[in-house]
Amino acid sequence: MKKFQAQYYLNADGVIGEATARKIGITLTGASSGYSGSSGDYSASDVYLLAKVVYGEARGEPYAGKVAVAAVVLNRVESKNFPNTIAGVVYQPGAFTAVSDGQINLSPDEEAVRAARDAINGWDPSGNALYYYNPAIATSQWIYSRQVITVIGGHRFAI
Amino acid sequence: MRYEGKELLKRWLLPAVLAAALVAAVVWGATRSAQVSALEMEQNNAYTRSVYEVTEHMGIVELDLAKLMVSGSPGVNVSLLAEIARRADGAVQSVTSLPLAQSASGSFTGFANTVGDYARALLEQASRGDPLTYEQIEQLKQLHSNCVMLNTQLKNMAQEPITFARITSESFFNWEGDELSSKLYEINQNGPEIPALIYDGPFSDALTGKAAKGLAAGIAEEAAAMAEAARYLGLNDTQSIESLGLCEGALSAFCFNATDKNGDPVYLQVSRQGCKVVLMLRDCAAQQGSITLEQCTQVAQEFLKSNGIEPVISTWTQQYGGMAVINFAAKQDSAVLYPDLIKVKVRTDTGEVAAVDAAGYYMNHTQRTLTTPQKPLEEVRQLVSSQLDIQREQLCVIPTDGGEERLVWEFMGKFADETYIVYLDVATGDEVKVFKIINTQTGALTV
Repeated sequence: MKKFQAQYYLNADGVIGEATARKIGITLTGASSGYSGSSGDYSASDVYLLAKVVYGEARGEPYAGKVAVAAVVLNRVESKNFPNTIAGVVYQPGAFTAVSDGQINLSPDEEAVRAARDAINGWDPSGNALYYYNPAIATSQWIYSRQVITVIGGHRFAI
Repeated sequence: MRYEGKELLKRWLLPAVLAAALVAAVVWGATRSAQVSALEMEQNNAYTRSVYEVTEHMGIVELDLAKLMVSGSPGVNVSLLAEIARRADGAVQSVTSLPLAQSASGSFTGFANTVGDYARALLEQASRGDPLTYEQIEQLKQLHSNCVMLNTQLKNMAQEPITFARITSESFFNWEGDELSSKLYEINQNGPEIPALIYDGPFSDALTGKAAKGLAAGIAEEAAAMAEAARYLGLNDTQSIESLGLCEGALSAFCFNATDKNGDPVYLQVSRQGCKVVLMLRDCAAQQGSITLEQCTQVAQEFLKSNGIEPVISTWTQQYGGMAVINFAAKQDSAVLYPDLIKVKVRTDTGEVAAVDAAGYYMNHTQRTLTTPQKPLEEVRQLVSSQLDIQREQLCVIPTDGGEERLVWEFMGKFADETYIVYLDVATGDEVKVFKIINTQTGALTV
């Protein structure tokens, strides 16, 4: 018994991760309602980064479309074919136009932050999509080969 | 004199100014050009470094996979597996910093993450002192032989200078048509089997295409789905509801835009099978209101009940931006069914339900066959460290990564002001997982 207790003496062998948390319904974002991003709180900065992506990529889209764009970033973090952190996914070269052209650095509005939060809390109108594109402006031939799951506003969401 | 002055100006001053401007432009241009060249060089060096890092990391992964197959000691295995996991992560990080086409980087990233996650899964087993099984060694053999094939390609690739033009070309990191490509595809699709109780990590490819357990048979027409959306929102008719077509995710659903009674836009997804609202998102900003968390929980629970979802138990709450997010899990007898998850967002100013996500519930909800715990709670509690000030203990079903479920005892408690959750398998009593809950300024477990 002693050995057992020593072995399992609160050695947190899994600080609960985002994916696990989402599966059992625990959200670990420690963000407060302000979104200064300068609090040094890693989770708060994650919300803010995600909100910047939403604002840069989808500010003209309906609310569900904004949440879906944020959800795609999170789906990529969970997918093994993509980087394993939010920043890794967002800043993967060529992954998002708003990152390439600097629009990511605009200050997100309240709605973008709300959409990012909802996505982190598990809302995913994209149906687990890994890609999205605007058929009016997408130039990559490859992206058209992906299976479209749903359309929200101007974006096609695909896997 | 004045005339001469003008003449002088025309003849000398203007050309002088122009010449000076030209010199300045040339200097500026040359400086910029030098800066751009320097930046380009730096960028190229960073890319080259990443390519070499990938090669180095994967070389060590290959070497340690080989060692692992001949090592019989769990102790040695622990350090080998830890190194494999670390190196595989490094390779993913390096490769995803390159400007590759997704079609090219995806299969490599998939392979490296699979190896890393498998190593981490085996690491848990090895740290309990258990040796590798025959099947696991077979899996490792397969991963190793793919790794050898991959590394041969990587080495060839790194032999020529890495330039931006090469990196961004179609063929870089792209082995389409090669045997390697189909091997990587196969591993990424099927992956090795997961041995233990883990839920993090990207083993989830196999989960797609599962049937929804919580939905009645029968496929709804769009008109019926639209009527259900109207009922859900408390609307008398479907006039304000607009069809957006289908969402072909894990749950096939009709998508609608609607305008609710307050005039707020609402987005809904109604499942084709069983005709239930699986997702609702209202576009509204709330002010911080006076409605308490308990009242919000009550509102949410009543709302779920009116939509046929009961019994449920609140497991986690979060408050921000004038909203309360309450997570519920289904209950069966005394057991909490974590996979059957529903999230409800309630406005703290008006007390209205702002958003619902019931996809987890409808995907997983079914009557479970719950085995009677072999060890009584009192006995299992002894296995939890006495340092933990237990605040809640309950029987629950948790999801594992392979899409399976496990019946466990959950002990939630405090140690040094931090909250921990400890899981013990009810069948064996020894299959354990300890979680530490981090960052709970806005979120709270329901105790």
